[in-house]
Formats: sequence, structure tokens, C-alpha cells
Amino acid sequence: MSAIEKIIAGIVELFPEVGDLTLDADTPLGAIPGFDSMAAVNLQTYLEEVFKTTVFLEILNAETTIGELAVYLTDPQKMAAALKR
Amino acid sequence: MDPLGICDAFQKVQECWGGRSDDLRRRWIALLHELQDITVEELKKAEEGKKGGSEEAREALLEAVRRQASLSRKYYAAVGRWMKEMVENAEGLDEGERRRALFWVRQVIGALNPANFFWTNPSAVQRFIDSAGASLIDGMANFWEDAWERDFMAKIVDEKSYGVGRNLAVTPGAVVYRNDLMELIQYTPTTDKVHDRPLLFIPPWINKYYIFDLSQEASFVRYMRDRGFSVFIISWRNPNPDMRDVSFDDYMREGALRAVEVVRDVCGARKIHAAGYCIGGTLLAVLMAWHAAADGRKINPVADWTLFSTLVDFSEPGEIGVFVSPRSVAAVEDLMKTDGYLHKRYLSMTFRLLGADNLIWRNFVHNYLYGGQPPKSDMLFWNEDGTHLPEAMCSFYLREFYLHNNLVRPDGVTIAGRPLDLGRVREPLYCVGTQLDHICPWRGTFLTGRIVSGPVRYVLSSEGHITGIINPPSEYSRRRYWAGELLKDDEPETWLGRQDPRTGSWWEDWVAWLLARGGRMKSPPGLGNQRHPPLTEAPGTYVFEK
Repeated sequence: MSAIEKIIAGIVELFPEVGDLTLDADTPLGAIPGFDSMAAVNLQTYLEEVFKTTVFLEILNAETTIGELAVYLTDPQKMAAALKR
Repeated sequence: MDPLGICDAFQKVQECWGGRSDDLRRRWIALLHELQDITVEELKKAEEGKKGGSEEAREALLEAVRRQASLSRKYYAAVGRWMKEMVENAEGLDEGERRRALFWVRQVIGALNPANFFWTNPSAVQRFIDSAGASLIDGMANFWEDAWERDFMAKIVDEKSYGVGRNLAVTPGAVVYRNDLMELIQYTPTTDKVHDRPLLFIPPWINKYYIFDLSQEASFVRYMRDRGFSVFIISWRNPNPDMRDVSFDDYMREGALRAVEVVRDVCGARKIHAAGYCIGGTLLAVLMAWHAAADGRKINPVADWTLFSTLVDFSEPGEIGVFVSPRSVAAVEDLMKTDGYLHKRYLSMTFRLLGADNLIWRNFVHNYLYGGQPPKSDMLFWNEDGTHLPEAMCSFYLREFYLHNNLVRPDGVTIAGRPLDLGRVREPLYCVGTQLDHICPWRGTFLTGRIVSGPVRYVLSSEGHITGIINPPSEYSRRRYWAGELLKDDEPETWLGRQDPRTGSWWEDWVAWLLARGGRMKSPPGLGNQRHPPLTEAPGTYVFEK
């Protein structure tokens, strides 16, 4: 499974209310029905569990797309820079 | 019975459809067709998916569950949409009834989510198989623990990961004033010089003050301290039964007003900056109007004021309006008669219902069906650390503000002996609303700027009631905000149409706004003074009261 597929699987699992909405790399997290700060915390937990890494909440914005999120999660350098802060 | 008018709302929807049986029948048929189409499509996919050779039994089972779940999700989306449309299209329903019905329909839809049931949640099944059943056993244990210890409310946060004074509310400082209602905390400066105008935060008293002092990266008080402000914050007391008569007047006089005086005294400052959040912002607005109602010679010691996600005009209370009606307020008042306060669990339940997908069902699935432990989150920990509300204050707040919206009427409310007219408030206002706020909708927060007389900079932040405000600058943030002058005849949309979105946190914009009103730099004041000596280290004692 690619990072994007893993993220989509997680979104479908966490937010079943997406129903038949098509999710792809260009879908912003804000397109998920009911996505808000509390939803972000739940997504954060899922991503940390699946990708075994720290995910900063500020990455999980309504404007962030699934594709961008995959880049954050798979590019160790970017995550390392974020961790250093 | 039914103090929230839930049954009424549904009954009215039903009555509204009563005279339109043909239309209703058409809608039923349309739904059945849609469900049939979905099923046929899924069956086709199942046919295509059949291959020769043998698959692991596990995979076969999981695949079947996934397919069934996919079908259920589609059914669910169709039924959910249909149910909402029934309410949206019911004729002759007033907007309040429609909103109430829609809210409760959404609750029902949320509960029917296929993910909430074991066999239509592939992850639950997979975890069950992978753990040889242990996940469901753990889930049952979690359920019984919550049932016994938490009134059936699922745990939403790993409570062991955080502690007040351990990794939350740890910015150094001291309590420099204490009365029966609040402790006033002053933070230890870290800069050689400070702005001579100190800054007072007035937090809501529905949760604890440390939403402004979460873990270090997200601490708002730390951020402002490091930018050279002398920062103070009120830590409200968690009411006990003896406080049943504590009124909104008391919160104004013994809380906000007293705090302003102590801050001025400790810093030797003539005037201060003040910022209030949610109900703390409403209190600050009351304080400003109270000062404006004084006779002409008295000056207002608050030079300028800031509101974070605050309603002053309660005509658009958002989804919380669903819970407020004359009947529900009377029911709340009955509830409070025994304890002398509104128990924090009722507020907690209300907030959970407002964000039910995330605050109820997500945890139900994660804790019970997956047998998991809830997430580690400073914000969720804070969210769970609620406080009670004193009977007199709560009743006044619900009736005068939510039910009758009297604060926006000139002289509509009298506090501490003075009739209030927000139109007389002339001090500059910095007013922040957040896009996804369902507690204080931004269009409602915007109205404050149109009532007051002073200049207003309005700021709209992305995110919700909490993360839109606790919004530290970060190079990874995709957060946005819009900021600009609010004109008295502006509608929210026309104002927004004039603004360009900016990337980042509005905190920087706020600091620039305060500095433009800031005055000179001087040596930092000590912690407390002779009249107000430090009583104990931050975070003080009231924050620990359960």
C-alpha cells in the first residue's frame, strides 16, 4: 500500500461519513464531512500509529491535501526538520 | 419530559409531510431505487473479483467484510442524505424547529454509522482476527470501565500522558492575588525590557485556564511573554455548592474588574491590554460597557480589548441554540437546585453532542470495537478537565444572553448597578472569529464589531473554536486568516470579500496591533508587589479543583 492509499484507508475507517465521496491525492482534508480540530486529533493518532512517526497537528489542516500529507509522512527529512523544532 | 424539544421537532417534521403523501411516496421510491442501484453495482464487483486458486481464509473473510462494509457505507450515505432532505424540505417548519430537527437527525445518523458495528467495520474484524479475539475483549473491558466509572461516557484522551503542573500549565509564574472566585497568575518575564502596558487574559470558566498554557510549543502565554509583554491570566475557581448564589455580577466585579486593578497595581500601569475568550470575552465586553456607563470623568483602565471566539450578540448562537429554549433552560434550572451548580458532566455531554462524530462515535469505535486506548492530546486532556457553573450565574447567562439576547439592547442588562450599552464603548477592539466554530459561529462574533463605537480590526482564522485560537505560528502550518478593518455597516461576507487570505497564524498580526498601542519599553516588574505578594507558584491551587 502506498502512503496515499494508507491515508485514504485511514480516512475511510475514521470518517465513514465520507460515504461514496471519491478520495484522491488532491482531496483536501476539509472535504471530509465534519472535519474539524477534534477530527484532526483522531486522524493524528491514526497516522502516528500507522506511519510510526510524530505528526504535528498543524499539518492536519482543512486545506492540506491527502497528497501533501503523504509527502510529509514519507519524506524523512521534512519530518526530521519538523521534529527538531 | 423532553426538555430539549427533540420529540416536538420530529413530530413537526412528520406533520409537515402529512399533507404531501405523494411527494413523500416519491421520495421513498427514489431511496429504494438508489439502494437497489448500489447493491447491483456491488454484486457486479463481487462477480469480477472471483478468481481461481485458493486464498487464505483470513483474506477471504476480510474481503467479504470489506465488501459488505463498502455496501453498508453507500446505503448509509444514501439513507443519511435522505433523512436530512426530509427535514430540509419539510414545508411550514420555522428555522429554529428545522435546525433542531436537523441536529437530532444528524445524531441519529451518526449513531447508525456502519463503522459503529463490528461486522460492518473491516478494521474491527481485522484486529479481532489478528489478535485472536483479544481486541474485542479489551474493548469490552474498556466499555465496562467507562460504564462504571464515567456514566457510560467513552474516554476521549489518554489521561495518564498529561498532568497539570507536570507537562501542562508549566510556564513559570506566581499567583499574586486570590479571592473566592479566582486566582490571578503573573508570569515571570524572560525579556530584558517589557512593554509598559501589561496584558491580561480572561479565559472562559467552562474549562480550566490552561488552554492558554498547553504544552510549550502551543502555549499562548509563553508566546506573548517572549514578545516582551507582562502577562497575567485569571484561573477561575471550580464552583462548589456554597457558590450557588455567585452571579454574573460577581464574575465582573470580583473577577475581571478586580484582576484589572491588581494588574495595574503590580505593574504600576495606568492602562492595560485585556483579552477574553468565549464566555470570558463576553465578560470582558460587559466590563467595557460597565466602564463606558460610568460618569464622564472616570477613565477606562482597559486601553484596548481583544475578543477570541466570543458572542455578544446571541441571535446566531450556532448549534448550541438547539439546546436553548425556555423549556430547556427551566430544566437546567431544576437540575441545579440540588447541587447549586450545573455539573460539568452536562456541559461535557453538550459539547460531545455538538461534535458527536469525533467526541462520541470515534471513541466508541476506537475504544470498544478496536479495544484501543484513546489518543494522547494536550487539547483533549484540557477538554475533559471541565468545571461546574454556579447556579445564579448560569441561569442569568442562559436567560439574559442566550434566550433574550439582552446584551445587545441598549440598557438591556444591568450589571453591578449600571445599565449597559455596548454602543458607548470607544476603545479599539481586536475581534477574532474562527471559520469552523460551532460554539460561537464567526458571523455571530462579527456582530460585536458593528455594535461598539470604537475602531475594530476583525480577524477570521481558519480552524475551529479551539484550534483557531490556540494557533501558534509554525513553518508547517497551512493555516490561514483574513484581517482588516470592520466598518459599521459591513456584512460578514462583504467584509470578507475585501480581505486577502494570509498564510500563517494571526498571533503575529495581534502582536503588531498591540504594539501599535503599546507605549514605551521598561524594566520588567517583579512578581507581585507589597500589596499583592506572590502567594504560591503557578499554576496555583484552583486549577487542581475537581
